[in-house]
Amino acid sequence: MAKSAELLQGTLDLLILRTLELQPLHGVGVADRIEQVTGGVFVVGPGSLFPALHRLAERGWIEGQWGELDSGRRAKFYTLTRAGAAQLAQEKQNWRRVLTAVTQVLGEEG
Amino acid sequence: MSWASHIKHLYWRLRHPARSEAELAEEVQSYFDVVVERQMLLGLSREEAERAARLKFGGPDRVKERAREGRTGAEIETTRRDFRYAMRALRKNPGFAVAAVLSLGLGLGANTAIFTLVNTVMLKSLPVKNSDRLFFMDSAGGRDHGNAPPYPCYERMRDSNHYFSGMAAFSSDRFKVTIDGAPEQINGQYASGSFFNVLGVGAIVGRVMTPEDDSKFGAGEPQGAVAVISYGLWKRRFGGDLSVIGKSVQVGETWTTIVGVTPPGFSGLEPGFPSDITIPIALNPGVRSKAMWWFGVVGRLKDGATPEQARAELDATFQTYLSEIGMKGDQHFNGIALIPAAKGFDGLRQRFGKPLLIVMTIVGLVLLIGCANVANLLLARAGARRGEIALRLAMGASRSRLIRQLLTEGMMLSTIAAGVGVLFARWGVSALVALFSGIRGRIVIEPHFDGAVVVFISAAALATTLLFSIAPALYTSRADAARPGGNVPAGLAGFRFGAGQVLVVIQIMLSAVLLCGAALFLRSLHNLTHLDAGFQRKSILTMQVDATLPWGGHKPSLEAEEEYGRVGRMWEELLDSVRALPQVEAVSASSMAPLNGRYRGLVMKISGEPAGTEFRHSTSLNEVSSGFFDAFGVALLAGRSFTPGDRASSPRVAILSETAAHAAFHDSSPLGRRVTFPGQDVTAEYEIVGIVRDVRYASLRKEAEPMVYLPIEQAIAPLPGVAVAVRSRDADGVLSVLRSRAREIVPGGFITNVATVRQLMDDSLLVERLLSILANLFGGLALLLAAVGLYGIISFTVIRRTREIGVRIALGAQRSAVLWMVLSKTIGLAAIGLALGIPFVFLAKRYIDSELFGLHTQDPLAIAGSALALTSVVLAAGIWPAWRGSRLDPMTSLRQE
Repeated sequence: MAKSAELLQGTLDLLILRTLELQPLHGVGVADRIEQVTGGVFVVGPGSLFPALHRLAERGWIEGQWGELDSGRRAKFYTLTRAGAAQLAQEKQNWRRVLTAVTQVLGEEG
Repeated sequence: MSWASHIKHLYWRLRHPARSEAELAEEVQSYFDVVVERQMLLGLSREEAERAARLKFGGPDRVKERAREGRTGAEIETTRRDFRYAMRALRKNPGFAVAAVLSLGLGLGANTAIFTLVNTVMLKSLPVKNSDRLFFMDSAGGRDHGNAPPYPCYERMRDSNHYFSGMAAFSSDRFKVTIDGAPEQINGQYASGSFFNVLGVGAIVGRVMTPEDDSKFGAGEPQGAVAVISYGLWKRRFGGDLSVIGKSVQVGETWTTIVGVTPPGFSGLEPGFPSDITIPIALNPGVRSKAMWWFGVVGRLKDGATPEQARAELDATFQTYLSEIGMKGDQHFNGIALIPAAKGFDGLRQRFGKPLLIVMTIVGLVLLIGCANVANLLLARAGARRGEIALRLAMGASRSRLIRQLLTEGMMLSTIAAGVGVLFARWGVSALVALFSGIRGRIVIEPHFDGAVVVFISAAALATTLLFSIAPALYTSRADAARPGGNVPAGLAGFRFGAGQVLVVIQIMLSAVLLCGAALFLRSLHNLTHLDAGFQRKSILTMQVDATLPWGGHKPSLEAEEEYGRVGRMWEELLDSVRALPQVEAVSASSMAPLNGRYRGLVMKISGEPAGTEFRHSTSLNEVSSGFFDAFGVALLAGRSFTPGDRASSPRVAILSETAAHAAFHDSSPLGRRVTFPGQDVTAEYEIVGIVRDVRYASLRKEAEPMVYLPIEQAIAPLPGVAVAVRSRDADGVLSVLRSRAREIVPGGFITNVATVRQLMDDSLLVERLLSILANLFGGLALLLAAVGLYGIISFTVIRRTREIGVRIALGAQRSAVLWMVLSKTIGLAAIGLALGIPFVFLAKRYIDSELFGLHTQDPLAIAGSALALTSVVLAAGIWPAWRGSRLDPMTSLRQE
């Protein structure tokens, strides 16, 4: 679970950015969405999630803003910034390159 | 730019640490709340839901910690938080903080103070250009090194050698300098015109001396004598005024013109003996003497030349010169030695090197004891902080995080202690420097708190932190140690006591070493001050009286030999003026007095020995008035003493010391034999008329040198100054009479270096006093620290065993038995410490023995004395808690648990 996400730190960043591309979300929302979209492959615990969120915020790729949940509880919602969007585009490209390369290797072997 | 964003975030967090923390806390809390609420929707109770979340994700604190760790500048923030936390912990427990800071601060301060001295005396290089190519040229002989060869020989070496790019002569002296009509005594030197050039020292104002300034004996030239002053004198006496250049000042009676000021930091070649004014060596009458060893020489080796090549060449010149003046075969000096000059004359270093090393070791041990004390305090506190630590561990703090926190606390303690230490050190250094400069030799040490000192205290503080805080931190952060509970867990108490016990034994052991050293140095000093040095020391006042002789301080022609007697009579006349005073018991004038730091050596030849078998004897010379032996209480062993009848015109007579008589005549009687002094201007024979007891002139520690005495009126050269000694019941009254009479009788009379013989003895025992004072001071401090440590341990034992003691007393144990039970523990610890410590003293034998006088390192009295002192203090520290233990009310103590 959280362990596999930790191993792929870059991957976690990419997933978070991608998640936030669609809509601003708070911590639990991000974790839920990732778990849901990856069909449970990635379960992100708060121990990995918060360091990642803060790291991304520090880089200026996402921005936190206090807001309210449906239940009326206060939570911090993260939004993708323009720098974040640019970063995401680049990461996506990188990822595809890596993916292609790795697939090729695996394909040749297979 | 991404880094701008990083910095913005970091800055915000550092500016608003509380808000940043609150936000983080709220964010994480909100996460957990959402998760918990969701679980509750599934039908779990709140407790169950919270438990599940905690199990799944770890505690909120762990999450927060990880979020913090990932951020930029996490290190800075963590350290900052740790420091703030540490500060709070210290403030909460001021007693502990003060005790720990003092324990360490005293140790760090003492180390810094001594290191500052070591740095100044031992490590600093001369502030001159390429000092590694500079060498001192010494005459060397079987016994030791000495001054450079006589001036004519030096001139020859300077002009004919092939390996030095330059050579310069110099001789320190104390001058009477008259500035604007006000005379004062200033340390200065005679130096060759080439002196500054050879050293590569320039002038910051005006110019330095040139060889031309030093080209004419007795005058300097070309436009009269010049003087170069030090930066210190310039600032102090002339207020740094540029118009000082061209100013005329009188050095002695010679008018000189100040031509330049040397840069700050340069004050001659002898660290500890700074020279404030330099005048040409051509002004010193000694340059004409063929057989006087009175100045030092420094030379700069050419590139590519080796010291050995240079030495061999100089030695050849020296040997030729010795044969020419008929002194070949003299045992005193028979060769040349080159000594690296990079660190200045090594006299100061030789004298203080080893003692400083010993003191450095002593303060190092004191610091160790201080560390042990603080470690003990920290362990004791570990018990008190059990709850807090347990809480933090339970909240998810990792052990490494805790250790880091505890080390930060340690670091903070030693940082504060280092600050306190610097204050102690400043105070200590000025006290030490005062001790040095209070003495007659005026050893001026200008300590600087420079980079080396800063590095030293930082390193010492860091090492200290590691020493005292690592073990307690490892121990305190142990999970089992942190187990909360009402009772002191057995494991904890056992460890706590064990570690504390070891620390106290170490403290006692180190204290034993220090106390033993202190006792040894104290006994050694006692031996020296109670030694029979051949002269009596009670109520004798000595002073130097200098005259301005009619020939301007220069040696007259031999025809004017009666002048010798005239000068001698002048001194007698001065003595007569005080001899008549009722409170005066005896008076004398002499060219040197015991311990006054003067020394003149010459060679004595026995007349009438068959040619070829004649032997030359090196001996010291003292020209004395007839009352000398009486004033100093030097016993006459054979023959007669000098009388007022021994005039310049009467037959020349001499008296030998025991050692001189035995060295020259073995067992036969020297009375009636005749001697001459080759190489001197007076060639007449002196008849030996008496033998007196040996006197230790140079140092109380050294065996007396052979000494020949001549009547002052038959001096081998006229004396432009003498040491006057007065034995009286009223030193002040005598001094004022002498001052006024000296002005009338002695032309240009100038009295300096007034001191009682007892003061002279104290001065000559400076190193011994220093060692004894410091060793005892720090020994006492060590003992105090150890006593505090022991007191703590014994108190703790009593508290820990309260229930046991209560039971014992309830069951009818005698209170005295309880007292003994606790005390025996104390004695046991002391005994182990002593048994471990004493062997270390023996190990130090090699270093200490040479500093001791009249006893060895294994001196039983010193060891027994220090063991006794240690045991009594340790017992005193243990007896109060023991007594309290024995007074325990069994009911109260049992109910306590």
